[in-house]
Amino acid sequence: MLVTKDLTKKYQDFTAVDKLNLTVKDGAIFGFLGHNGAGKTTSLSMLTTLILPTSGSATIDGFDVVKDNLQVRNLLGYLPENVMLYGDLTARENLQFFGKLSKVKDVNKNIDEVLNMLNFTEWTDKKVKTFSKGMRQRIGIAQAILHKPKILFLDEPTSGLDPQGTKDIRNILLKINAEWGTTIFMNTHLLSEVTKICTDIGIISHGKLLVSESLSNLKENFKDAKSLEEIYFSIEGGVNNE
Amino acid sequence: MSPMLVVIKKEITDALKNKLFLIILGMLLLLTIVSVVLGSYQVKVSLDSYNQSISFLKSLGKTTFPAAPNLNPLSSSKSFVNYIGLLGALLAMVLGNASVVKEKRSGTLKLILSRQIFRDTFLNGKVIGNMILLFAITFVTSIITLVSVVVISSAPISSGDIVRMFLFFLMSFLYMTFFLVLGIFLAVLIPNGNKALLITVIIWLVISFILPQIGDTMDMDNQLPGGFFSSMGMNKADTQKVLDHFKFYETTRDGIEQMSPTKHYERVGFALLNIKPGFEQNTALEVLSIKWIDVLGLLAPSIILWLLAYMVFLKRENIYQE
Repeated sequence: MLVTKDLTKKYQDFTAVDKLNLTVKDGAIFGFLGHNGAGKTTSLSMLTTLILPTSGSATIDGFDVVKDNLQVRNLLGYLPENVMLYGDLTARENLQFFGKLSKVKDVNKNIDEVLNMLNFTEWTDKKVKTFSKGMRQRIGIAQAILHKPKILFLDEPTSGLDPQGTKDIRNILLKINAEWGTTIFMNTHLLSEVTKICTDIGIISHGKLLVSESLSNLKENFKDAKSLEEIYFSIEGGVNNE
Repeated sequence: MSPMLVVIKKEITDALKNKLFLIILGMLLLLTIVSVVLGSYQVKVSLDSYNQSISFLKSLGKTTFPAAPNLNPLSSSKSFVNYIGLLGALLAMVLGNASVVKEKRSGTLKLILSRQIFRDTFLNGKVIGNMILLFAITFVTSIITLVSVVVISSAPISSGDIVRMFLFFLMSFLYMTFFLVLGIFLAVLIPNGNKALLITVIIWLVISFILPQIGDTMDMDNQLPGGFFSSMGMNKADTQKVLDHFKFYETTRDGIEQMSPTKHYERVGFALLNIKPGFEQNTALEVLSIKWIDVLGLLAPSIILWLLAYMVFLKRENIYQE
């Protein structure tokens, strides 16, 4: 589904992402882990065609993110961190706008289907500015999956949410993955979430990919570790101590 | 529906929900209606007074009558030039600024640009959507003016007058477009939306009030009420001879005025409306060709600012700097 080869992004002298080589399988829930400023958001921005790589390449379903960016945009759904949406518009009006931009044929039918899936139908005609953060995040996910993308990119989807909101989002993502077979690529630094939802993980630090494995393999390789947190710190700490 | 049309449609519906925009629009329309109705009424009073005089002379058995006063029905739009200079510019600036700032505040730019729309299409959609709004506003005001002049003043209005009036409103549209694009450009350039609006307003004050005021103050002919040269009993040729001695001074003064789109708008507007004497015998298109520098002065800055906004927006791929 997603393959990157030596994907690199430089800002003048600063290398935000350094030769990223990554493969995400079809139908996987991939957790991209790293500390703040590790290069997660920059990687995600390149994969969602928002910024151009300095060198290297990335393909989604065989389409190059630079050369075939329109086809790539058609395949992906994206939820950035802390999205606010248009506060003065209702949930439906927001979704109609984004649905039309994605050229969804029967927008209203898709909106009803998606809101039903997210158990959000009673809030459809309320203005987004009246929503809590958790509700806004749900509408954010709704706009990202409105055109039924093959791959869903999420940047810290549960950041700042209360435990109930976090659980709700987690269940929604599992549902999308199970019912539609959507591949999910999730930036996060919440290790507890990764263990509960992800099938595969990648760890990035200072722009370099340290590891990319299935969660089960990783646990197998670090048999002595009691938790993912321990695994994470032994990988990241090992590199930082070198 | 193409993505650009979706953006255009959203810009228009958003503006119609923007309270500040609606308040300024309401004031502009109200002032336009009041000024045009009063102007048209004044023309009607002059016309009625002339007709009464003719009837009176006829009743006295006179056969020769004084010539009809030079009634200019277009002059009823004179105040509109000032309202557009003030409120029209303000309206366009608010539209331009809000159009970009709302995306920054709602964090929606990334969502939009991850869809099947490119940065240039998105920016074009915003500019075109707001230009359609400004065009609709000037078109409605031109119809109000035309109807008021015809119905209230009862003054004869020729097809040439109608063309002049519509061209005048076209110039008003171009003038407002300049401030729209200025608002968009500065909002794209400056990360803080409020700061961008403040700087837009400061630039508006400079080019709309300060520069024309400097030009007027430096104008030798403005040093005495009624004109310095005419009070000295000098004709046009003599005046020119005097001015030839102050070529550098005059070029500087004119250069300062040329920097102001407001002055260009005023010059071409007053010529089209026959408020400035000397253009009565010209057709509307002849007036535009005589005043081409002013038309260019309205068009060129908008095109340059549009291109600059393009360059800044298309180049801005740094995700931390929407």
